[in-house]
Amino acid sequence: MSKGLTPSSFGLIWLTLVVLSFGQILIKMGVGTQKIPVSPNPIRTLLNILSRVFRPKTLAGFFLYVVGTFIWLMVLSRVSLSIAFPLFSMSYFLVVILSATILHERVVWRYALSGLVLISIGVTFIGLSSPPN
Amino acid sequence: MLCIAIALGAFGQVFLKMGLGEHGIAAGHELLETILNIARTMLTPKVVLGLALYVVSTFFWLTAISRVRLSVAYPLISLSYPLVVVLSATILGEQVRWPYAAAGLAFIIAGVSFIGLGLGRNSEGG
Repeated sequence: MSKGLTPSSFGLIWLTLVVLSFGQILIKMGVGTQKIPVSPNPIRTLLNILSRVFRPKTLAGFFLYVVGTFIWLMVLSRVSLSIAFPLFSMSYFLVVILSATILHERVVWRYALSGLVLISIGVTFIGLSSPPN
Repeated sequence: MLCIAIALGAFGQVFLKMGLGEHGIAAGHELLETILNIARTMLTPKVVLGLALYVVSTFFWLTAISRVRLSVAYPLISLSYPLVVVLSATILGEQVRWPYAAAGLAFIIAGVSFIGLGLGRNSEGG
């Protein structure tokens, strides 16, 4: 079982990123901006959560998540976690950009970009923490 | 809430890897064959446990993102990487070069702090 990064697994990782990022945006659109009430009764809380899950956009988002997870499982069986995960940091840029453009979230770019760059450097170090081979 | 979602997700990831490491997934000649291979692997106990942790983690995640903007909440998932590295080393026995892992953790925490500054006073989603 090859653990290195091949062009095909690199492509699979990118496909996962795009599918999961759009999934995340759809889920947020479905959940909405009204706080899900948290009750001392866990069953009540679960029902509150589920009432947001069974909405068309949330379900569509989850569908993309299932598709993305299938691709992700293929990636993980071919590439070591410590290589696959760092490439994933690109999804943060993607999700923040999509949040600003599609969800019209207020993004303070000077903080967001500084944060994302630092996170990417950090995630790259995490990738390097896995010894070669 | 975000922290619980992230921690459960990291443990889920490690269980997925444990299950996948035992069996691997053969890519078939046809897409359908590959999908069946993936589905078969998904039914092994550790993969099921990993996926179950993911489901629970998702409930926490949904509750969290109903309160916080996605552009702020999503980058916080990067905190799971250092956690996954530690778990990979301790549970999966993977080799880790700790100075790099420590540097990674430091940069990620710095980055997440900047993201947090973007929250401002108003943490409502929108």
